[in-house]
Amino acid sequence: MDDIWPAVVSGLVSILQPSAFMYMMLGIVISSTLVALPGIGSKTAIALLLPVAFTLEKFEAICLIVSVWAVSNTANSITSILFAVPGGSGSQATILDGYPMARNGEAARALAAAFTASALGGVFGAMVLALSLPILKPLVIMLGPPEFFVLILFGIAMVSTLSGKNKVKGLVIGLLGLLLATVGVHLVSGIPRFTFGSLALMEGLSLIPVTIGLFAIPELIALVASGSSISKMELNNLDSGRRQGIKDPFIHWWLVIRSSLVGVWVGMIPGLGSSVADWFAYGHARATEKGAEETFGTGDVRGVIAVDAATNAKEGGSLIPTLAFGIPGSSTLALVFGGLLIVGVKPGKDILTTNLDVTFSFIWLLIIASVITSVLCIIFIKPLAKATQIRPSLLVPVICALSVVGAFATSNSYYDVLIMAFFGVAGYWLRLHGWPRPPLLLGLVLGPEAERHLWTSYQLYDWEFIFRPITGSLLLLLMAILAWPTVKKFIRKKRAESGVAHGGQ
Amino acid sequence: MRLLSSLKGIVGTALVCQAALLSAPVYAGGHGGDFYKGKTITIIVRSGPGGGYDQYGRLIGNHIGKHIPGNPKVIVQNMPGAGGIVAANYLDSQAPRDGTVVAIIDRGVAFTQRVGKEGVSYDVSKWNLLGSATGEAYAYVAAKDAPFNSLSELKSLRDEQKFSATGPGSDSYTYTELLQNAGMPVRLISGYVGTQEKLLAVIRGEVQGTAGSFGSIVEQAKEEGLKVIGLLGKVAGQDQLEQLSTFIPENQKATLAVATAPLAAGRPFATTPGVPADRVKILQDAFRKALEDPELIAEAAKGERPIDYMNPEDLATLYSNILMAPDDVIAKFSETPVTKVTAALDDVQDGGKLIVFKGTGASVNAAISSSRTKLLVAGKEVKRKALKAGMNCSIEYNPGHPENEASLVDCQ
Repeated sequence: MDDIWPAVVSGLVSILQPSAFMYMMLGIVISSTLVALPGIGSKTAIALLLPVAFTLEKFEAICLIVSVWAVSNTANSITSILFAVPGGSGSQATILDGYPMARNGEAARALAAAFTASALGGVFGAMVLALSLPILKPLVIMLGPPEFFVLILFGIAMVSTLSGKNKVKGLVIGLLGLLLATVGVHLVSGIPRFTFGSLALMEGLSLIPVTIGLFAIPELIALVASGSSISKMELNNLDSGRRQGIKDPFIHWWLVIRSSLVGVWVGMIPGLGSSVADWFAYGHARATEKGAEETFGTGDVRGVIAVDAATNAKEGGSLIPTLAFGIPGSSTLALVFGGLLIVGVKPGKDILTTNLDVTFSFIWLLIIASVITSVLCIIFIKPLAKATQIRPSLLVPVICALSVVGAFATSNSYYDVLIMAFFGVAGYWLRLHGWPRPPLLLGLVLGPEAERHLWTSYQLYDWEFIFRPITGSLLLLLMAILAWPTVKKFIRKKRAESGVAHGGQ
Repeated sequence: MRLLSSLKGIVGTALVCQAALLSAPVYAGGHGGDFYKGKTITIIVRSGPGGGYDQYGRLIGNHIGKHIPGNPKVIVQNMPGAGGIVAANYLDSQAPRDGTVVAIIDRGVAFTQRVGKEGVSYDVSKWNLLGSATGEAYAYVAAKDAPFNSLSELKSLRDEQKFSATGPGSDSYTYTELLQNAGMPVRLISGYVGTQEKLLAVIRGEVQGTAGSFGSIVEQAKEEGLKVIGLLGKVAGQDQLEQLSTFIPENQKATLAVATAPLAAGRPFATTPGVPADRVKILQDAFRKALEDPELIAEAAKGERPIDYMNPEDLATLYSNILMAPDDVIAKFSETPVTKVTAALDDVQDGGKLIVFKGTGASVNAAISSSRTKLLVAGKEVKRKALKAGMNCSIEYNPGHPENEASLVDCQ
């Protein structure tokens, strides 16, 4: 462990060299503009940059590629907050409170809070990663399909917290989401389900078109119908809004830390990504924060903070299995490391022993790039926030184009635009009749992962998998959490009764 | 009034969105030797960004332009979906047929067409093939403490060994399944996504082995101390490893040939049907020259992607062999896998819902369905309760089913 400090320092020095630093800035700009728009993910951007990386020095290439990946969840909140169009799969849940804040004239505050929370989450994730370096291997080996299955059940249990006032409607919609998740070729048996012979449905419903349909299109329709700008209020003091937004995550620092832990945790589980981290964090915040039941969904800044802290902390977590076994934890990371092979960086033992400075350069990049990105984004808040004042006749075509292109570009398929349109109509209907929409997405995101981990566990261990020590303990914990509200009510009732009895004497 | 205004909103939205959609590219025709001057060639990649197909697509995309007269611009476009069928259908019927669209196609296109997979509307035999950038081989790896070090040791085992796999229908599942065809006591655990998850399952010790394409699995496996136990397909400098093909019984050799032909095709490229012959020639030559280009070779080597050019004629032969494979060979792939054994029932549990017997080497637990399993005792149809331990039966069961469900139990 003595030789860790030179690597820590040399990792930092390497990325602070002028040329490397410049490529980091380039990566940040690409990630906060191109990647932050719906449809273009960090994967596409990295694939496009690989020929450039081929001509670079080792740390220049690391700075370019890793920064594109590391900060891709910061600026993608912009379109979520301003127009309810998710900029990427990690900013779906940002819409729930971010967009209502924009409507309340608090766009500047929402953006500032999102960016600041992103930076804090990114730094926190990197620190957890650095601290867990010595225990990486046992940590990864501890968790197999049965544990993943139960951890995903925790997420599914959030349907009730995401349902708002009407739990029954929420449950129905959540189940509908799980049902929709079964569309496509079943991963375990290879049998196509509910595809109706259509190729477009073979790989299931893509998340981004469904999200745009459910959230952006209904808002768009409402915008056209109402004829007023997004913000219903005057944006009188952008400066104080921005200042308040920067302060918010620090005021709710405990929420930031918990959400970041949720993010790291999700990052570690293979198969789960930003699209899950945001819902886990939002559900967690809604279940645990005081008064969340009433204010979440109507423009509560805590909903924005939780999501952005988690999705940025997730990146640090997803490096854990990658560094431990040289096996990239996500397809994006596989691409990152595929690109870094070009400059001679091999994941695995190499970068944990002889090239430890490379690992620390990653960690430093997660920290430095997160902070720089957030600061840059905060500078542009004022012009961005003014977009909520533009009259609909100008704004609607822009949001519309953003939605259509975003849905199309996910897999260059016109079917996805149709799927967006279908869920747009469905979303409008749900909104009109007061049905909660988040449980549908939660079911859709978690359904396939839960199902495949369940069947893999069953094939491995039969039903006995639920008795594995970690799996069993997690299951008991889950049952306790689910039973708690009922138990609490019961105890209260008993107390009240005995209180009445006492009073009567 | 409220209804009217929201209706106005819906119609307005739909109109604007439609306008945004009407931006499809327009292609212009042209003839002559300098056809490609000022043109743009699109390289379609059959999967999303990242992964082998994408990398080979971009390698060719970066270098083919300078070997085509007129130096056209080259762009790469990802078209994922349905294991490559979406891209193949596009190349076949929608792409412009002027030689401006080239695709890196799924290596199994011909096989998928021959077995008539759902959604296939293309015909490989009409395409203009450019050749392949490299062939592929599969490697089989085992856990550090697995009780076997080679394929022959695996075959001699009696106890069932678990192998992690993706879903049935994928290349990797088919090639792992071949271990069963070779009579090895292997059980596939499906549901893992990608080489990374399959390998992690071996490292965690929940399975004893797995299989993956040589390039993507061997180095990582060795670094974690896993054992490489055998190969499917030739890899230069790896002659000491056993070949799975030598374990496949003679009567299944034709099936094996069809199953492994896509591996030989590796990373194939093609252009659309109906391209003028002179332009096909230009593209084929440029493809070969690009693969001989020192700059491409250097870039491929840095990314650890092997290059081994296969000419279009050889690729066409490979594909026509698959397309003309006899029906009985193909039928082996489309039916549900059935293992037939004759054995004594070692145990009958739950009133006949589960039977235990010695399968091909290992002990097998198979579920008996009241509706789907045909049960016979001394030639008469019976209920599950009639099954008793010790009976001598011929059993047909599905090893791919999570509970090894039996389709037929015929006892004396």
